[in-house]
Amino acid sequence: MKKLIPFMMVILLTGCWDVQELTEIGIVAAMAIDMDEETGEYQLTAQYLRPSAESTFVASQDDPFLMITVTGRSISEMLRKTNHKIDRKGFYAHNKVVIVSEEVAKEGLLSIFETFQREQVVRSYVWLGVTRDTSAASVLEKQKNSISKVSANFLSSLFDNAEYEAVAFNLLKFYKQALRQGMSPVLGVLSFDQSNQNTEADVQLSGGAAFNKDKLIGFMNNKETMAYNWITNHGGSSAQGGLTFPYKEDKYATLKLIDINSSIKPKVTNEKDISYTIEIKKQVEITEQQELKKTETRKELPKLVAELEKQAEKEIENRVAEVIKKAQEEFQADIFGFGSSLRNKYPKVWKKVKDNWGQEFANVPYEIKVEVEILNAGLLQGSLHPQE
Amino acid sequence: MRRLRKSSENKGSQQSQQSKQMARRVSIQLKDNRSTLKQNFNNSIDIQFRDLQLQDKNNTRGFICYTEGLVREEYIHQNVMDPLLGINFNKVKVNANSLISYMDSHIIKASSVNKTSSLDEAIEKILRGQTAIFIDGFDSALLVNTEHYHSRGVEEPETEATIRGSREGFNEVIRTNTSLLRRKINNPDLVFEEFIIGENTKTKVRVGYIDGIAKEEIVEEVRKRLNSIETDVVLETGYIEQYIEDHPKSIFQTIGNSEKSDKVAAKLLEGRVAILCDGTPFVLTVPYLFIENLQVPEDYYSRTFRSSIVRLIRLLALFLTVFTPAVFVAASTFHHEMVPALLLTTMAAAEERVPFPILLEALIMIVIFELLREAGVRMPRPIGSAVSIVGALVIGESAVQAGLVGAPMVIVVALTAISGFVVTAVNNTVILIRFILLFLAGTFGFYGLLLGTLFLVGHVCSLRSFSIPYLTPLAPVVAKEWRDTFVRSPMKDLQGQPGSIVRKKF
Repeated sequence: MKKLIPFMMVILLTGCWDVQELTEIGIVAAMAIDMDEETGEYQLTAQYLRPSAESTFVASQDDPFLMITVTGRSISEMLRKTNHKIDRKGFYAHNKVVIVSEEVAKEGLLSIFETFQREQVVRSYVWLGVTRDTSAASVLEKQKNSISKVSANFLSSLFDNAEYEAVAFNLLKFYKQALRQGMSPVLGVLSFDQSNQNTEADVQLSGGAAFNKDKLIGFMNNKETMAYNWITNHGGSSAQGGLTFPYKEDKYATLKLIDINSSIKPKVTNEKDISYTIEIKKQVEITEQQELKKTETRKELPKLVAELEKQAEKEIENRVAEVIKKAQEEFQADIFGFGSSLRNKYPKVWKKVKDNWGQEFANVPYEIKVEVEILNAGLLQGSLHPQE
Repeated sequence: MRRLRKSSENKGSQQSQQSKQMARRVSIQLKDNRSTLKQNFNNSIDIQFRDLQLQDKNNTRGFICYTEGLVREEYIHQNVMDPLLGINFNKVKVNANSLISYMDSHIIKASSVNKTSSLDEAIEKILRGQTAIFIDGFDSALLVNTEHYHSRGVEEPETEATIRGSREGFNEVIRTNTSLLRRKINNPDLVFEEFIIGENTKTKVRVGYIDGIAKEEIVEEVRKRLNSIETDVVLETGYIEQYIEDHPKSIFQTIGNSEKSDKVAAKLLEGRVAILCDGTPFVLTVPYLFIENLQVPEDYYSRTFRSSIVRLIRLLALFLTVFTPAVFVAASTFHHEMVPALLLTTMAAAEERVPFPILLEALIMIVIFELLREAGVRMPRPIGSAVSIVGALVIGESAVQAGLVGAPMVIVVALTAISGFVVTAVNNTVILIRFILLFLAGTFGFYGLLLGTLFLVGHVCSLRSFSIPYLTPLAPVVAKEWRDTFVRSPMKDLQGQPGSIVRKKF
C-alpha cells in the first residue's frame, strides 16, 4: 500500500497534460509563405486536411482540405494565429511541403525557417519549393492535373519524382548548403505551364532557383538545371534521367543514364591561381535512336556507338559550360560547391579567398572533361528499317 | 506426515492419522465396535452394515461395513461374503484364536487384504472404498480392498487442443493419471510418492519424478512445501499451487499445469517434478519457466522448421497481445508524428464522430471482449452460439456505427484478442499487464509504456520457480539451451531427448 499510493498519485494527478486527441488536432499538410507587397508582412497559407472527407466509411462530399491564411511578421506568430481561424489545433509534423514565393525567397529564407528548427514544429525532410510568376498560395489550390485529392500530396509527389530538369531540396539539405562554406543551394521551381494557351495552366516542377546563401538570385531554365544536376550529382544516378540531342539533322537520339560520376577538382598553382577541372563520367544506354538506317556490316555498329558517344560528350560539355558561365556571370553564386571542394583540398588557400569568394568564383578558370560510355543499345542492334 | 517411497495403494494411506492423538482401537466386543462406528458415521445412510454368522462351533458373529457406491458390490459378494459364509469352520480345524488370520490367508479372495487394530484406520479406509470385516472376539479388523467408483474415461482434454500427438488427457482419478504416466515412461526410476493433504478432504496428492533425472534439491523442496501445507480443503491442484508457489503476490505463475499426459511425461523426462491430485485432471509441474508459456508438445512432434516458425509467431503474438492497445493509444494521443500521414487522416476520420477519448474507447472494447470471453466459457454449450452472434455485433461494425468506438479500435482489439488466444498459457497474466500498460500509455505516452515495460522486465527477472530463475535460459543466459528456446533445433542436435536446465546432469 505504501508503494501503491505514490504510484497511483503519479498516474492520476500528473498524467495527460500533453494529450491531444485525434479530434483536437488539425493536420497541416502544406504551407505557403507569401509577402504582402504593401505592408511588407508575411502571409502564411496553411493547408489543413479535413479527415471526414477521407473517411473509409461514408466520406463526406466536402473538399478534403481547407486553407487558412493569416498575416504577420514572424512565422511562429502566424502558426499560432491560424488557431484562431480554425476549430482545430495546428499539427505540423506531417507537413509535406513548404512553398515560398519569389519575393519571400529574395528576402532570404533562413530568417523565416529559423523557427522550424528552434521549435521543431516542421520536420527537416519537408520539401521546399519556390514559385515563379505566381503566388505561393496559388499552387496549394486544387490543381486539375492532380490525381491526388489533396494538393499537398500532389506537390510532394512532384518533388519525389523530380528528375531530368527539376531539382528537389528538402529543408535539411537546404540548411546544409545555405550554411556551409563555399556552396549555395538550388531549390525546385513551381510554376504554371504557359505553353498551352487554350487550356487552364498546369502546375509543374521544372527548372531551378539559384540562391546565394539563403537569398534567391535567379532562375535556371530546364537545360541549365539538367546540367547543374550532372555537375552536382544530386539525387543519385537514376533520378538524373537521360540526354536527348539531335543526332542527324532532325533525327534525335536519347541516351538513358545508368550511372554518373562527377567531380570538381580544384588546382592551385603559384599558391594563388585557382583553376578547376570538372570531370563527368557517364554510363548510358541507347533508348531511342530515330534515324532508320540499315546497318550493312557488323563493323558499323561500334562505329555508330563511338559516334554517338562523341556527340553526347560534346553536347554535355556545351551545356555544362553554359550553366557554369551563367552561375559565374549572372548569379555570381557558387551553386556547384567549387568553394567547398577547394576548402577540402587547399584549406590554406581557401582561408585567404573565402571572404571574397563571390567575386573570386566569378572569374575562376575551369576545364570540363566529359566521358560517355555507351554500355548497350537495348534489344535492338542496329535500327529498324523498312524493306524496300 | 512422513514420506513413503514408491508407495503402493494400501501402504499409501496407512500413516495418515498417526500423528493424531489417542488412536481408538478395535474393541474385542463386536457390539462396541458396531456402535462406535455407527456413532462415528453419524448414522449416515450411505454407510452399509451387514451382519454375519460364521459356521463354527461358537456360531461366531461378525459384520462387514463399507460405503455404498465406492465399492463393487458383486466383488464383495463373490470374494468376501460367499467364501466367509460358505465355509464350515468346524471341518477345517482352525484354532479359534487365529480365526482372523486364517480368513486373511485362506478364505478371502480379494487381491489386497490388511489386518488392522486401529479403529480410526478402519474408518478412514471404509470412507475410501475398502470393506472392513469385524469378528466378535477379535481386537483387529480385516480391510479388504474393494475400491471401485465411477469415473470419466480417458478423453481428449478440452483445454489443450493439438493436431498431432497423443489425445489422452488425465481424468479425475489419481490412479488412472499415474497409470497414464507410467504407461508412457516404462522406467523403474519413475517414482510416485503420496501425501494426504487437507484436514477435511484428506485428498490424495502424488508427487512424481524420475530418479536420476530430477534434481534432488527440487524434489526435496517439493516435499518440504507440500508437508508445510496446513489446510482443511484441497479440491483441485489449484489449492496446492497457491500454497507452494514461490511468489504468491506476483502476477506471473511460477507453477505450470496441464491435463495432457504426454506433456507431463515430457516434463518429467526433462527433470521436472509433477504434482497430481485426486479429483482433478490438472497436473502441476515444477519448476516452471517463462519460456514454457511459448512451448507446446507439438513443437517436438512436428518438424523443426514448422515448430521454429510457430514458436516465433507465438513470441510475436505475446508482444502483440500485450502491447497493441497500449501502442495504439499512445501513438494516437501523444505521438501523432509516428503514424503515417494517410493513416493518421483516416484514423482521425474514424474518430470524428466518437465522443470518447481514445483511452476510454480502448478500455470499453477490451472490457467488452473480456466479458464475451468469460461468457463464452461459462455459458452452457447449447446457447454458446448466441455468444458469438452477440460478440460479432458488439466487437464489430455495429459498435462503430453506434458511434461508440472508431473503426481502427475494432481492429486493434481484434488483433489483441486473436494474439491472446495464441498464447493461452499466459493469458491470465497478459490481461492484467495489458490494462496496466494501457493506463500508462494513456497518461504518459510511449514514455509510460517504456517505464512500465522496464518495470515488468525487472519484475520477471526477479522471479524464481523452485530455485530456478524464471527467465532462464534468457536471463541468466544459458547458451546451450537456446537450441530449444525460440526455435527448436533438429532432434539429433537435441541429442535424442529434449535437454533442460532443470535436469540433474546438464
